[in-house]
Amino acid sequence: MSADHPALDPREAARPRVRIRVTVNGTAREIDVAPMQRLLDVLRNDLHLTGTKEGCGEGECGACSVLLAGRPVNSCLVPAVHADGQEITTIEGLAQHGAMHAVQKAFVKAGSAQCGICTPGMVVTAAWLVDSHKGQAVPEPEIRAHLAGNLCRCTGYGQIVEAVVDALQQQATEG
Amino acid sequence: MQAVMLRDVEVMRPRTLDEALRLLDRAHREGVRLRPMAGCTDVLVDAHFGKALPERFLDVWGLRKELGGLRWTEAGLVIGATCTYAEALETPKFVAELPALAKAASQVGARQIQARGTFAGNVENASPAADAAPMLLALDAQVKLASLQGVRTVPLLNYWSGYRQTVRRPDELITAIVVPAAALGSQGQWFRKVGTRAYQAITKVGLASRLQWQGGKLVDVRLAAISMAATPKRCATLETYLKGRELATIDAAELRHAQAVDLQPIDDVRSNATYRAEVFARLVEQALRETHLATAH
Ligand SMILES: Cc1cc2nc3c(=O)[nH]c(=O)nc-3n(C[C@H](O)[C@H](O)[C@H](O)COP(=O)(O)OP(=O)(O)OC[C@H]3O[C@@H](n4cnc5c(N)ncnc54)[C@H](O)[C@@H]3O)c2cc1C
Ligand code: FES
Ligand code: FES
Repeated sequence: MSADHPALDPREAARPRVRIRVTVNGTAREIDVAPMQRLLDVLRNDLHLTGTKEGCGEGECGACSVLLAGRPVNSCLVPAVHADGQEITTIEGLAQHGAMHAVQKAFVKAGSAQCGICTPGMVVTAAWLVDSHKGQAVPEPEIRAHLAGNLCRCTGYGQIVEAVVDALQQQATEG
Repeated sequence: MQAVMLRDVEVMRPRTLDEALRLLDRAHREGVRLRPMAGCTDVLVDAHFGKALPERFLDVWGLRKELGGLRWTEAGLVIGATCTYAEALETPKFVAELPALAKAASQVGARQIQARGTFAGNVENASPAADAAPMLLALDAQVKLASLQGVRTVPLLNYWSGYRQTVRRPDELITAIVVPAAALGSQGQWFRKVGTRAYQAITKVGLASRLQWQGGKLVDVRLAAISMAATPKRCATLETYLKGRELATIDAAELRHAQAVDLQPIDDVRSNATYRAEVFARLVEQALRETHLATAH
């Protein structure tokens, strides 16, 4: 309510705002935000990038995972001011020129999603894992360790790990 | 009373440490709470659970140029206040010289938490279930504090004053945690946490330790208990019992007796006192065996 009609809430004018500059999925953006607002809310509500999901809101589930300065973070635990000057990649930014990321293709192939709520965060973390291990063999326990911050209540993780193994192999053969 | 909401909270963003200390000093004199924030993995969880928020935060994360990274000096390893677990784990020299601290860091939450969480935040958060802080305690680490009044260094041994409390004054900022040179690459560093699963699990019971053997005898013993007391805790009675002993003369019953003097764990949502006490004793036994074996070769 107050977000749509700021004038109706007398406290709105007094609220702190800061301007942050971010590069989201390759596009430079400038936005006015409340400084401690969660990056998750900035992405979903201000930038309308609703691919990033909220599960727990407390850093446990990883549904809100995005890449910040090249590393996966829980966007529910990042205050907006910490995104200032940074590059962010969300699930919407993984496909390049209409072509899915190797991890996305592998998820489709292996059937790695059921209800889907964990999937955007899981794919973002998995894509980071695959991109940061180009040409390397990653043992399964390492894969599971990298994905441990992304909880899935449906799949039992089997098809997810299978997809990551597949994507790593695809990357290796493509050079 | 109107609860302070996240969107109402102000963030002061100093550009230098000096400016940060001035802001803290002014807030302190005016009686205003100004809480530092680094990776925010504790701060924003507190907010999520509706814990009372201060109206203002002081952003330390923005001081990464001045307070970031790892620096090897004559005194030892200086872990900057904004150094994250991920940064440390990507530094081979850190992993080589402090293997048990690296193990602890690699088991804090999961990758997303490690990308943001800092050693300094872990120390200041003062949780009895913290993982990195007790290992730093076992390494004789010291906390470097700065304020407009000057700088001081407090050994971690004296840093936690009670449950979730530290001796830091509100006008002080942690600038670094220092691991003394003597501890770097030292023998017998050993860490193990026991949780519900390998990652994203708060420690039910854990041991952070340094056990140094010479000629088959324990010459130096440091045991820091996790989730066994109101703060991370060194075990003075156990350490005295063990010092100077050979592995064969360590008696399981005597060990448990000494442990009971140092540690009286409690029942809570994560575990219970009986389980904690027994598993802790076995962690001590495992640490003794493994560090002894490592020196036998
Ligand atoms: C899902 C999840 C899992 C977790 N798992 C673990 C775990 O397995 N093991 C573990 O030990 N912890 C765990 N934590 C807790 C947390 O991640 C760590 O304690 C982390 O090290 C805190 O660092 P931070 O930089 O994020 O601290 P922040 O949240 O920024 O700050 C923590 C406290 O320190 C103060 N502070 C920060 N920097 C300074 C400074 N320079 N000077 C003075 N005060 C300062 C803040 O005011 C605050 O009180 C977990 C948290 C979450 C959300
Ligand atoms: S919503 Fe952020 S980790 Fe669950
Ligand atoms: S597919 Fe439902 S939680 Fe993962």
